Amino acid sequence: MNPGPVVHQEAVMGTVVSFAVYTRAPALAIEAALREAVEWLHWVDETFSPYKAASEVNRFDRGELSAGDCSPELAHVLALCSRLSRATGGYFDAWASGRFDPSGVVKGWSVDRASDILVDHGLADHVVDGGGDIRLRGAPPGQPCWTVAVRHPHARQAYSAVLCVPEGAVATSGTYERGQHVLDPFTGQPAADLAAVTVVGPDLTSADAYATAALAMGAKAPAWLAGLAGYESQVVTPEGRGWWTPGFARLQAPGTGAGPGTGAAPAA
Amino acid sequence: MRRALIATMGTAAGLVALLGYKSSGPATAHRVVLGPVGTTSPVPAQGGQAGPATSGSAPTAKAGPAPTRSAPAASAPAAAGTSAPTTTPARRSFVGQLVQYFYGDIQVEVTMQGSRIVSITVPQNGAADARSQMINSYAVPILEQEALAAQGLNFNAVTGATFTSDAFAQSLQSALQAAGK
Repeated sequence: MNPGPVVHQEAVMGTVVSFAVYTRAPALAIEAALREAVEWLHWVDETFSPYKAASEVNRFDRGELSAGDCSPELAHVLALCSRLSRATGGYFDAWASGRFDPSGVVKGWSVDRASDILVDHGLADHVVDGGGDIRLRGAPPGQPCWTVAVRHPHARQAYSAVLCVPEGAVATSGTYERGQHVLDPFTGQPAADLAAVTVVGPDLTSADAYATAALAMGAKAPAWLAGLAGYESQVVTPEGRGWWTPGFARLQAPGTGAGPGTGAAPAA
Repeated sequence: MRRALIATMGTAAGLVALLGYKSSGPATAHRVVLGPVGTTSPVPAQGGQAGPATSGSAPTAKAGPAPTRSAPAASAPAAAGTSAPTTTPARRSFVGQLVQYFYGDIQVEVTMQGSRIVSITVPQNGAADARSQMINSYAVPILEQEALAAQGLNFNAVTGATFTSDAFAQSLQSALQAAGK
């Protein structure tokens, strides 16, 4: 009989970040690791929040801080933003709102780092869930993979897929959670063509940003997602229609989906 | 075909239970498959394979898997009227009210056979426009939490969001009221 996970929930960055750690380490060691991870997340909140006037991001946005003077973390996020903008054909745009707001990458990136902190403390098997965007490390005891349900945009307490995911990340961007909060940087209008995009990838930084960018792409999303090596994805429209990659179908837990090999490349 | 129909009935029952209605369908299957947008046929055709959208120019036939494929390929003819036993009650369809929501309008059609729900489709949706035709052809499964739990499936995590549109449920509810459920 395997023991259950040690769990912790932290309200931070406008959401709840949940930790579930599978370990036999002593309680004090787990506590120390979780404390460091949680402190990191609060530091990120203070530094990157667009809602806090004194945050470093806002000082940078107001021109009070040059790119050369900012913290190594902000410099890293700035570099991430330009990399992600190139990788998404401009659909990931930290300046889409007219001011610098890297929130679309900061959550995924900070959760990845929080997961790294746990690994550094020897906690190899854990889940960090940042408000529905999930970083998975190691494996649950006795299991080949993590079982991850993908919430259905239409039906309460129902899912559009149940996945068996080895180490990696799963992110969902949707218009159904917070309304049309993602802007299409090319039109300046809220993205409204899709209800949800779920991306499975090696890390949450890119999976989350790609899901957000794909949501902004609308009908162009499947063709773009299909070309992403190493990432699997599912797209759901407001009508409950959808598309997913062949690899996404193969990730589905036994008895829950269309099964392997049923996917197809999107229409070009 | 028969198993596809049973799956559809079971899943419809699941969704009805979700909305607080009592269902008479079997509880063995676990998903609802919505029919293609714009369809007028309430019955999943051709062995449960969702057909491509009928709209002209979009090359939709290549895209995406049909989630209803978990049902085995049909060997029986798809026309229920000819293959069903003579005692099978006739099918009747009930259209729910047109509900305005975030993305436009949605209207749900429920097809009953006797007291059983055989399909739930979305025959009209104001949000379906040319831009989304490419990915509009395949229904996404709705896997009921309760049914998954009954199978012993436990999740380590859930990805997504908590806010959901109630418009779909609202139109479905009115269709079921029309059906006298």
